[in-house]
Amino acid sequence: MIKLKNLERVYPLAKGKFFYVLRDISLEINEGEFVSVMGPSGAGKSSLLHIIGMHDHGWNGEYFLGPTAVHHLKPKERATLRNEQIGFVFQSYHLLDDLTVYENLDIPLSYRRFSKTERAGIVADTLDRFNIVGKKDLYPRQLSGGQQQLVGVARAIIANPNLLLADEPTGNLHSSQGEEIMELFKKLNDEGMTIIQVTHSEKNAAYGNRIIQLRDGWVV
Amino acid sequence: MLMKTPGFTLIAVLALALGIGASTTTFTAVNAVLLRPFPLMKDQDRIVYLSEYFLKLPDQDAGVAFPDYLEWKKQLTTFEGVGACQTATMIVSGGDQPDRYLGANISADAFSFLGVQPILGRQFRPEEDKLNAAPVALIGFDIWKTHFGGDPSVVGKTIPINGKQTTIIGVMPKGWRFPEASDLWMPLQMDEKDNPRGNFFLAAFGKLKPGVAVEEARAELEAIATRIAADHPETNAGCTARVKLFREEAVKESKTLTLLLMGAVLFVQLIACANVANLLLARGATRAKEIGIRLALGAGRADIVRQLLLETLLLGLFGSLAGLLFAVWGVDLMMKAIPVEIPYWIQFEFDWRVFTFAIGLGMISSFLFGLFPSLQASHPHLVEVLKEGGRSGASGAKGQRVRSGLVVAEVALALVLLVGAGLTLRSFMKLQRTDIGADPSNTLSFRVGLPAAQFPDKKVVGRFFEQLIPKVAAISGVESAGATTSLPAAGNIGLNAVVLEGEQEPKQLQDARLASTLAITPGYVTTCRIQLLRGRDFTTADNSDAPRVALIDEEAARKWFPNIDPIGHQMRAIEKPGDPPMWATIVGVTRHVIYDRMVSKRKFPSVYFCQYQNHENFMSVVLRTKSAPKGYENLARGAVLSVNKNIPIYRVFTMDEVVLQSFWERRFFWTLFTVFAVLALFLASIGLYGVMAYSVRQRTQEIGVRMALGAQASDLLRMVTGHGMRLIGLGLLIGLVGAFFLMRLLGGSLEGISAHDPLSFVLVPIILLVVGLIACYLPARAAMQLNPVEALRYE
Repeated sequence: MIKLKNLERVYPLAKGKFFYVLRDISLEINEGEFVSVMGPSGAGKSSLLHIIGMHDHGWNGEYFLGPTAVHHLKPKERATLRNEQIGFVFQSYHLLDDLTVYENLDIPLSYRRFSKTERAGIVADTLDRFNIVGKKDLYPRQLSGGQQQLVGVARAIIANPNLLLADEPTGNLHSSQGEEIMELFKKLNDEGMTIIQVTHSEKNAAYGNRIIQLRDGWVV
Repeated sequence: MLMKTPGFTLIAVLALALGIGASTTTFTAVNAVLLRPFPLMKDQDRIVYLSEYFLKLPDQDAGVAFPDYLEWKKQLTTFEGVGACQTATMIVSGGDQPDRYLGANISADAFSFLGVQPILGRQFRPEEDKLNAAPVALIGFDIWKTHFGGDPSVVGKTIPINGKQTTIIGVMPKGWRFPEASDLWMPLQMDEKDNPRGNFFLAAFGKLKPGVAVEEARAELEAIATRIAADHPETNAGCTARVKLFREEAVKESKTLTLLLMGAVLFVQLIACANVANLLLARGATRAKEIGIRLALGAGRADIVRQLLLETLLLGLFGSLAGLLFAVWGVDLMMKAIPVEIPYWIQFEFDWRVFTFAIGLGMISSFLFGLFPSLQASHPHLVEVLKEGGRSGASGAKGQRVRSGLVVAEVALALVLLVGAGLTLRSFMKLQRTDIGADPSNTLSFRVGLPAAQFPDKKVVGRFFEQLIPKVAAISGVESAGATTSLPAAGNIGLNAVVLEGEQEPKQLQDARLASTLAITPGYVTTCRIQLLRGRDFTTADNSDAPRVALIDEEAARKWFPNIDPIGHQMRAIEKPGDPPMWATIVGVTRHVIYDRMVSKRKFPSVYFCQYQNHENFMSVVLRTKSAPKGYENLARGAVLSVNKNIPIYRVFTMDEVVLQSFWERRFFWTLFTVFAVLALFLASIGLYGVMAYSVRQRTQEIGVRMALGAQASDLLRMVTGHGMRLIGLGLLIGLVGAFFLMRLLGGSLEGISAHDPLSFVLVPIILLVVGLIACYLPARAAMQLNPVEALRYE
């Protein structure tokens, strides 16, 4: 599903020097895999995830998502592709404070130009699927961390992506909440969704079927 | 702290300085017109203006007739002194070239009761008021310096004034140019024979006795006027008199406009203050951590508020000082925008009132607009701001609401000003496009005349103009030339009673037909391109040996000769009692020409008599030129000097300038109003931009999340501009309602359009909307260009 060839992410420094965040990354991830990216802080895990998630465009190399050569796409085409294929879960949830749970779930659909009726139906299904119907009118600050991340995951998959990217999804949660989220990921993966997560936790990595280790920007 | 954030300090001081600068500039005008005492005049609260008026025309002062003035002077008991004056051209010859000054013939005791003494020499003596008394003059400080080199021995010297050897008896102090812009004064030597009742041409003034109220004086004067009217109904029936404080009369035309301007500029100041308040709120939020630490270390809320208020007061002080600098520049520009000589007592000076205003405005503004942000910043959510990465600041949502509210207010205030500017602009354009009945393009005009005292023989006067006009017309590049007693739109036209053939002379002046009467030379109608509708123009054959002829305008033809041809009918102006009737045959009908000032609402028929049969001493010569008319001034002066080397020309203006001068106050008002409106627009758009930019900065992480969730550039553009547009929309709505009610105040200053002119009320919001859209677009573009990865990490 994903094929990266000789991918590099470089930041220019002063005096003509460069800082390599990712070096010569070549890897393949197949459809239906649940991959954990691990490594020490600064290894380039989140950078790799943002490149795969097409938030970052300043890289070199080749990136194929399915049959599409992402490296040949213009930013706008990448945005369209991302909206069709990818969902993203953040460590600090990033729910919008001024919007209710319902409205937070509605946002990705509104950006994908679903009609109002379609959106209402999809949001209702998702609330039901994640068992959070009773929380739909609450604001994020009225939810626990685990509940917020649950909404974060629901929001990430609401537009039915093929690929779910999660950047330390349990990093801000205590262990029981973290387990719930990982069980949810496992369930989604069992339903066929490809998942790539960045994690420091061996226990969380064990939910997946493959681990990619990064160190100083290299795949080791 | 202000020094540590120079960008913030600079922008806040600049915004305040712009508002305070504009306000102080306008206040300097308010101070000059309404507040500053008249220079040198004593007991000003007792100096009054007196005038006669007809009950039929209650809004128009007629002036004062000489015999009426004498009766007032004799009978008024509530006055310490009563005086009268008549401004007059005074030609001082004897040098290389004659110099023309504006002077005044004034009652001999006037300066005494006005409380001003000469710095050299003496006052007029009472006997010098008498007709045929030896001619004496008081000279102004400026001509003492310029014409006589400040020579202290000038007192006692004799100089030719209007051809008469006149003894200089004194020099008046610097700054004294009573009544408006006079440089020379001679006693009012008149008699009732030459200046009979019914000729209302004097300006009268007086000084009330201590403790006498204006109403008391008015009652006494009205009683005297009623007696005079009963004794002399033929001239004074329906005529009464009024008393006003001198300042009230002096500012009657400028007071409303000046106060309107002051109101307008205070709107600008409010917008500037709203901007500063916005900056302070934003700064309070960014300083939340610092303030949180201070509070955690034991500072009380009052300590924090005091510190923040002190900082804003310092901002206000710097704003005032910079505003004063702007005002120096503004006043200079304002004075350059005044194309006419203003009365001597209007002095745009930076006195203690102006300084107090500027500093006070800065202090009050900074206190009022600094108070809420200081209170707001002084109670941050301590736990939030002190924890690592905390950034919620002082009640973010409330602060944002206040900031949005301020922007709404700015937009509303700016809209009111812009609608006002739109209305005044449309009114100005209407005035400028007014068809005055003559073509002012490519024409030069100048005033020239032979003073009656120097040239008592009317035939000499007639000959002068008969020789002058062909000479001017013969100047190379001049198409034609003519002369008139009053120029179109100049506003110095007099009204006369006229009688048509077959009519009885009215028994009372108030029942007479009134008309603007002018003397013109042949060539004037052609030169001004006044359309001749019927009959013929004057020719050189219409001289003093030929039968008297007259032209009337279409207004006179319509009113006086309905359904009949006026050509061939006779008419005459009512002259002084005892003079033989001077019937003139109407030989032509012209289009109506506006001779009053363009802003005047009155419209009287016009009658033209031929100068060669009706010798007037002072005329305005008009020449139509083939090239730029300004270049003909020296040639015209040469032509005059070649006819009489002792006669100067003055008031040299193109006719276009004369027309513009006829509504210069409106133009001045419009210019300032527009400057203020543009300033308001600028400040409001900066304010809007600031709030939107701040909002985008605050929402950076949110924008990153939205981008990660699929938002595209167009979604972000819509989100940011949508927020701005909602604020603008609300501001426009409030502004439109405000403008609808406030524009009524402008009603009296507008010409030809309603105070609710639909075009201004539609176009201005569109302009504001477009400017607002640009102000929102820039932060929106910044949002669109955010890197989502960095935005997500933004703290």
